[in-house]
Amino acid sequence: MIHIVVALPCEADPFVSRYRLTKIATATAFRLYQGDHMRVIVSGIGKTAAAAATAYLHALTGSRADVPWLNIGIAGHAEQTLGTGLLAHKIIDHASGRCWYPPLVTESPCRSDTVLTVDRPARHYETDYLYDMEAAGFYGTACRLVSAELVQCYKVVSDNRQSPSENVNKTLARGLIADRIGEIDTLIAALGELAGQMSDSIADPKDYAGILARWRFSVYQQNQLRRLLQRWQALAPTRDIWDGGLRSLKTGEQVLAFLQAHLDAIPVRYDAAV
Amino acid sequence: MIHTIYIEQEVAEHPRTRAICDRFPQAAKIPCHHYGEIFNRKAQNFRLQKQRPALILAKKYNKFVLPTPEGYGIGGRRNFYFSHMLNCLYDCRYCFLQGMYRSAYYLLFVNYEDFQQAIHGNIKEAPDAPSYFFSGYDCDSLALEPVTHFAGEFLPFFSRLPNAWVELRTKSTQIRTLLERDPVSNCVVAFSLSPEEVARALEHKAPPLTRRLAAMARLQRKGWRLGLRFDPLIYQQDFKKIYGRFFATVFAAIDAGALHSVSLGSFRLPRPFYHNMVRLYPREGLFAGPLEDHGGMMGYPKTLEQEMVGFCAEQLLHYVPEPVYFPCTLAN
Repeated sequence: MIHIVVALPCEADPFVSRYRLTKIATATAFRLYQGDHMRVIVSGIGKTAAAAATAYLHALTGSRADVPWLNIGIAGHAEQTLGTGLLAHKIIDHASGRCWYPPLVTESPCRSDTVLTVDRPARHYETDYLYDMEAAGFYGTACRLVSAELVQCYKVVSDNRQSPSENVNKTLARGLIADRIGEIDTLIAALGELAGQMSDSIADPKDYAGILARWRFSVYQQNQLRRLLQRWQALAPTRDIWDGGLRSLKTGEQVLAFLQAHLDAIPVRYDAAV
Repeated sequence: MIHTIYIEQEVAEHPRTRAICDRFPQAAKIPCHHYGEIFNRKAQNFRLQKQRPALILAKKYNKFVLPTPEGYGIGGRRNFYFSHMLNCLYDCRYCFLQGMYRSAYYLLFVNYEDFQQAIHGNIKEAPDAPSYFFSGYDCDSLALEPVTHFAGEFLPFFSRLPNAWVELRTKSTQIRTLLERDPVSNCVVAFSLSPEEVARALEHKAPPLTRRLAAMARLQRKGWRLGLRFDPLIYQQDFKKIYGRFFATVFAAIDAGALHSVSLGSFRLPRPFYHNMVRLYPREGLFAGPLEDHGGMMGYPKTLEQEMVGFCAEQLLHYVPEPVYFPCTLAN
């Protein structure tokens, strides 16, 4: 699953048609589309709206720490050719001067550039940055929800000195995003792979839910159980935990003692782990 | 190899910054005010970043040279360490760096001259007593030599300081800089070694034992003084057989009589680092084994640790004379 935040309905359209997303009627605060592996939320224009939509989608969908987030949209640039897709390697909030540096830890399908988030549409390109109105709001919020590596901004150049922003309309914006969908697909796949590794780190260990359902544990004991089961997976990944009398135990405390005793008896062997 | 370089404004025009940027013309060059904006930020994942670390070029302003922890040394009484770089090319699962830093990016302080001035200052405090300076505490001293030219810059510097010693701690086979110049008599090139089984399972991206031994033999033939660092000792079933065989392999490849120093220490980690590392790698065998908390330091149970250190010390003293043997006696 990936969460995509766009500002405009026309920026969402290419995703809705390509991934056969359906509109979620119960999402009332923002327009939201969902498919098997993707949610796209339409925030409206501006960094406050982007931040609010990001937080809303996170809360609405279970606040998971292993979901990648992508802000996609059009942006202006003094020199870049229309239709160029660029990842943000630095995001500057023009109003506050705050900066963020999205970690680029996957193979990138495109070049990267600095994004300057402005509060009002920029008619003049005073720097050689990308100009947008959402990235800072999106990034500052999404980084509070998941690890920074899983949060990226991708912008498609919609206007430049030769073709000013007055020329941008819904049809152009829709077409610009649709034309970069292959590059966006590559980015989504790379982020999905990273998220998979994050899931691996935070996932409940095997049999955790089954044991919790059978015996009672305090919160402290639940943490102990989680760590013991992680150790079991590391030291004896092929050995079934239910073999050897676990089922006959009466209390959670006995379960913890059982696991500890068995773990102490398992030899550590690195050659076997290779 | 380096795809992104963050550059502090303060060092943007530093010759070392320019040289490194020229070496990676394709890398994105991203200016920043202070490295902490990137390196120290919350909500980063060391494990994810380790897959494709960026390089940060920065300036260090203070604390260039620090005293080593008590019990850490190779015969001297004045022991210091300095870190021109934080983080390492390799990805050793036992390494404390992954528990200490939020970011896996390579952070290089390019103002070598300030480190050298601080080293001079430390020597002046006690000009008659030999001072030992350990590099490679927070990074590998040689692994990024083609990029950093650290050894290339610091060896001539130390060669002019007869009452100082420098240790280059490494697992690297990047020894060209050393082979291309005469040995520096007050430099110890100290290789960290583990049995092949341990290296294969835990020392990801590091050269295999055989290549490290080959590099050491070449350096020794050229006249460089070598150190052996068996730290950390890693427990596994049959550790006596494994370490016994390992020591035999090591001392068949190098001249034990010409060694400067040999040290060993058992696997240990400050408790907060250990917890961070478990969070990153919850199903890692190293952290699933027999570890205990000894007053805030995680390590093997005392009896096991003593057995391992005792056995390895006894084995080592078959090969090397006692005066060059230095067990790590850090207080737990």
